[in-house]
Amino acid sequence: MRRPGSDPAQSKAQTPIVPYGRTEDTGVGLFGGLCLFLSAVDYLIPKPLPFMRLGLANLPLLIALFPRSAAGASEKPQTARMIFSFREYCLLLAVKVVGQALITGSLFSWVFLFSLAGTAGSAAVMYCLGVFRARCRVPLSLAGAGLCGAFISNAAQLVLARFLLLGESVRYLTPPFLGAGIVSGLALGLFAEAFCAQSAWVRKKSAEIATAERPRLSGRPDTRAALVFALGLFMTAVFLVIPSLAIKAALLALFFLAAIFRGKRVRPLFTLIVTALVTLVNLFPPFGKVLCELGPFTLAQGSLIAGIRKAVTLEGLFMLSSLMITPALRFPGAPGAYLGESFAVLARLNGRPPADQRRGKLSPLSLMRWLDETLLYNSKDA
Amino acid sequence: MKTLKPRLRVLDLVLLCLCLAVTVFLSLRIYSSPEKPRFVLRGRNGRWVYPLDRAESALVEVEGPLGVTTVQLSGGRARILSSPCPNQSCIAAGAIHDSGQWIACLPNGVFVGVESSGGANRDIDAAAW
Repeated sequence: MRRPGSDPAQSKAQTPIVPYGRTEDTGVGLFGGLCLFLSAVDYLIPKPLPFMRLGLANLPLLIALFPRSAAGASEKPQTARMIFSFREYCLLLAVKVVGQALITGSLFSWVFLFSLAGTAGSAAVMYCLGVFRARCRVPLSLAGAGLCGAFISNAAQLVLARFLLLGESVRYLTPPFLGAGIVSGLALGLFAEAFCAQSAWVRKKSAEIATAERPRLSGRPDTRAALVFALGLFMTAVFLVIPSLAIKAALLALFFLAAIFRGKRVRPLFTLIVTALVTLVNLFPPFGKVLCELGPFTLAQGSLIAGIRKAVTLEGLFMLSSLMITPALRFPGAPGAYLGESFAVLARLNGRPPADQRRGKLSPLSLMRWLDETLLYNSKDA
Repeated sequence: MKTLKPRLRVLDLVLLCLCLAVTVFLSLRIYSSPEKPRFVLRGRNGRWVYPLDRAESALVEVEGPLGVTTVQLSGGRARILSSPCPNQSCIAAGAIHDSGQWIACLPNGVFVGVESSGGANRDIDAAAW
């Protein structure tokens, strides 16, 4: 993805259709757009491994859990609520997971499953801690919620990786991944708490008396989207059940060429790195005919083929998904409307990224200022 | 906005200690656990290895001077199913499943053993008095 705001023509070309004539952003749409924008910012930050993430897209999920201040002395602790209600929070999760899958084109791939598992696990834990804090007035901040959320997210994804992708040897990756989750979750949570403590938008929102839930949005059914979705599911199922590794590899090459032909963004180096890493992890423990030995390491045919098969399946599903899915895909009903609203917010944010980011000097303080200004500017009550 | 001043509350510290404790515990369990034993098969056409606790069964055809010896690996046990040797004692030997155990078809030059991943089996082969 290009740096937001660096190419106005590109930004304009990516502007999605404003959904269903609605011009005001609900909290879900605004925070959903923020999730998608911060996901792109996270992607742009250099990291040692290409698929690592700092989890910036979870920042709106944390802010949404900040407790509302008591509206007068009459509000009882057990009725104290957070900025987002449970329904709004669930909608925000769905928008974040599906929206990211639509942007990256990974809706039919294992990447979507990993995103879903991580987000669902972390959100459940963070929400429970948020309720605990809001109702029991305990000495707990968003730092604790963020750290637990990241820990559970990484744990959920490691469990999924054990059965889908990396096999038994994933256990050797468990401690460093959990440790990285603790560090990133704690940092993000501290940032969120510091932001909420100083944000004018949060101060305004948390002081509002909890009212009835916002009006539900409704969406038009989109037959074309349903057909594309069904076709994508069918082709995904076919790709998964093909037993021959040679056919799968040939299909992967075909999807790759089709993606280039259709002008999709392809990253051959990233694909090669992921393929190599997945294959490497699956080499342990070795099984099958021994091909060669290097000191204590044994390269065996069975584990090598199994690793290549999983890597080809992962990349093939991702390529297929990116071919079938576009951000313009419209889902029916309220979820579809909220998604469309989030993409509209994302398009506006792409046109107004943090000023310091354009100069390559994005700091936590500048990000906080930009976030507060953005929330105030895009809030329907501004 | 002002300069950031991160501050952890009491329960934040409790949760942090809990997560760190789980991570350290898992590290000790994972990185200090002994290497798991594995089946090792040797014949004229190569060498095979299979983890002892591998869930999937396997049938391995090992070639020797007399022909093909078929070895079955299933449920943590290995046995020779068929062999072209004249006395078939390797089949009668039954299944092996513990570190240090082995069966062999000497006429056909096929060896099946359970060894630790470190390589040499350090258990005593036999004792006599």
